[in-house]
Amino acid sequence: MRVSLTRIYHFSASHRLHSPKLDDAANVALFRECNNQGGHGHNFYLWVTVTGPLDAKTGMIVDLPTLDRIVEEHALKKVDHRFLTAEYLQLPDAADHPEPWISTSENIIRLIYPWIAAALPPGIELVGLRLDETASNRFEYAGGQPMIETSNPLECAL
Amino acid sequence: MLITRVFKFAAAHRYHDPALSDEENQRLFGACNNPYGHGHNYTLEVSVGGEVDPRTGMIINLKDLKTIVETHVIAAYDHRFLNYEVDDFQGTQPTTEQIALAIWRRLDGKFPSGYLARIRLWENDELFADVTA
Repeated sequence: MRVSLTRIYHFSASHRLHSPKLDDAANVALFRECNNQGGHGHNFYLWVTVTGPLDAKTGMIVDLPTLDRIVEEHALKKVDHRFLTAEYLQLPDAADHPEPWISTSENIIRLIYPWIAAALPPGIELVGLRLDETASNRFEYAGGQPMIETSNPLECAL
Repeated sequence: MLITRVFKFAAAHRYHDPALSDEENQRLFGACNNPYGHGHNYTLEVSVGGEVDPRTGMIINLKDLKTIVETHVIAAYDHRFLNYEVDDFQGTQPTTEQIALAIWRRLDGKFPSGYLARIRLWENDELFADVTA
């Protein structure tokens, strides 16, 4: 039997879906309004699910102020009220990543996951994250999924 | 395949360990240690798994599910002060995790068809605990 705890956080951030390897027309065809100049914003909701042994005396998996502090320092502070580009996030350059990093929520959630996982106290495990970009778009990640290699970026969108 | 029904109850609780001093309790539990307790509108999602009976189209008759949860959980917890009016939390605190576990124990094995797959207990809009087998 497993008990897990989920806490929901939120942050406001902007992004623009744009690939520097494609020309403008290809970017518009691929990303449509998500490619608009200057980007656009979302009120993101981040669901953080953790598990671990249940402390018999406190009745808790983890003390909530501790979890809040970890998520604030290691995730929220990096993204809240920011424009999420590869440059701002200081992501490795093209030498390490054959394709440029695009700020989709699939990629944002995979970026945030190790930030939080590495910062949890010993014995507390990150089960997964859920990122709600809008009321209709939700992304979930439980760790471990590698980047899919493809030579044709247009195939990714299909 | 899971069918989930949502229930609600309002209850009070307090986090307090009588083995610790007042100062230690304050430090450990903060506002959750306030002397007269505080309350929440809890939302309970009970998920039953199993095969769909081809005759009825159901995993479990929802009327049965409702009666079982109301009898074994809601009647005990709703409008109660969980620390004092329920025996489930002796030696521990009625946290979201412990209440969810106590609800699991109250319901596991009680269904005439299907099996208890998940309990999800929301303490507020931003916090819930899941119990799965």
